[in-house]
Amino acid sequence: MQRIARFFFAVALIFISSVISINANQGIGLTALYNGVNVRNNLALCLSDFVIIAITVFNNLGKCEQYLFGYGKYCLVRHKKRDLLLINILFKSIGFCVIIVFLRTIVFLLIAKFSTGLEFINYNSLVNFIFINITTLFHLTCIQIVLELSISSFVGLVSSLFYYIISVFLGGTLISNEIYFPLLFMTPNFYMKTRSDLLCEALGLNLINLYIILYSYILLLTITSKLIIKKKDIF
Amino acid sequence: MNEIVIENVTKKLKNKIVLDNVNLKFEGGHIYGLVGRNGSGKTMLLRAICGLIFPDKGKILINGKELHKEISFPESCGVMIENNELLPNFSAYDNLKILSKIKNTATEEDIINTIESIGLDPKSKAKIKTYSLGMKQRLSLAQALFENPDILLLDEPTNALDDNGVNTIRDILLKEKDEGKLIIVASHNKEDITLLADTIINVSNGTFIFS
Repeated sequence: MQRIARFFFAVALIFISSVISINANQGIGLTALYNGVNVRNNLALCLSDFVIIAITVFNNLGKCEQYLFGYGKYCLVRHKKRDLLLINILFKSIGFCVIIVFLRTIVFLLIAKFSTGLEFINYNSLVNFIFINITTLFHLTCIQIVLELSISSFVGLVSSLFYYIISVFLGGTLISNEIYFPLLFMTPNFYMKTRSDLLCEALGLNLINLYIILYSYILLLTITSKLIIKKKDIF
Repeated sequence: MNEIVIENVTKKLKNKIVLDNVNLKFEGGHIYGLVGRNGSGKTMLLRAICGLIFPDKGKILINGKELHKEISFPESCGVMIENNELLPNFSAYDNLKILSKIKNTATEEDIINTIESIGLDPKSKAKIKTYSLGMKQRLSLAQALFENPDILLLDEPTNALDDNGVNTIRDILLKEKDEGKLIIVASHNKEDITLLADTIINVSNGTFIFS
């Protein structure tokens, strides 16, 4: 019952976020989805994108930490291996990222169809957006998991949200000043076509390169979280 | 035959030695009682055996398999941890049902029989948060027992229990012992340990000595 209520709450938030995004991008319909936040850091666009990040991060909250205290210990000792538990958590997180991105895309498509129309869909950009958005959300999830395991769920939550906010706002400012290299460390900019196109053009990269960078970060974070959970004393 | 071998295990926490070069061997068909003051190292040893903490030195072998190398946790082990916390908004049955889905080795009948054996009503829909401390303690023991594990690690199982409760636990543990289970019970209460255990180990400042 709680899950169903949370699902509908998330859908409602996605709906509101999509309406904000479409209104802030009058006349360009669906392209607002994959263009993301413009370089001028339009607040409405930031807010609409932030909603999706917040849903993901709050969904992840406590997923690892629950096994380190109280009742969670009874669950933990019933597993065969600590890292298998972590892999289970990671797979569920990927699943959530996939669901949230597809949900967002579908809601956006429906609103755009009835408000501005879908005449100018670039399907290639849309598909690219979906996959890189999923990967970027999962990267953010991995950051949260590492911090949750090593420090606390609160630090993981706040740090993930701050990382997104700083990446977007600082990213926009850096691009405006034609400074591109630091954006390679600010992955939320990767799924915003406006920004990633400028980044790739300036540094001679393409989408494949961005994926390689993202997967490298994800691999590093996954290995780190595996090392943490394997060696952590649980009192 | 169930066996736990602890070889040269040492653990330090914040410059204090909590397990001091521990060498012990436990065998199935016995109830071992760890008795010592608060902070002597009893709980720490149980946590080390069930895989929750890592020894700084030494190794722990559970039925021949090295902990943290071949296995992360003992494969068939029921654990009753100090200051236990079960899910407060669920009934006794639902608490165990949720846990049973992890390993999928216990049946509904196992859950019901275990709850009955510790003196609680398996059909009761009352939430755990309405339970007395003694009832929660009994349910915590049921949580350790219901999957019929080969090894039982029980930390302060008689806390908050009356004489009737202690006798119930004693009867359960004797039955488990007769089935060849390896049972380790930790308590600061020497009287309860004497009643429950057939082998007593005195614990003091991380050292363990057979009585």
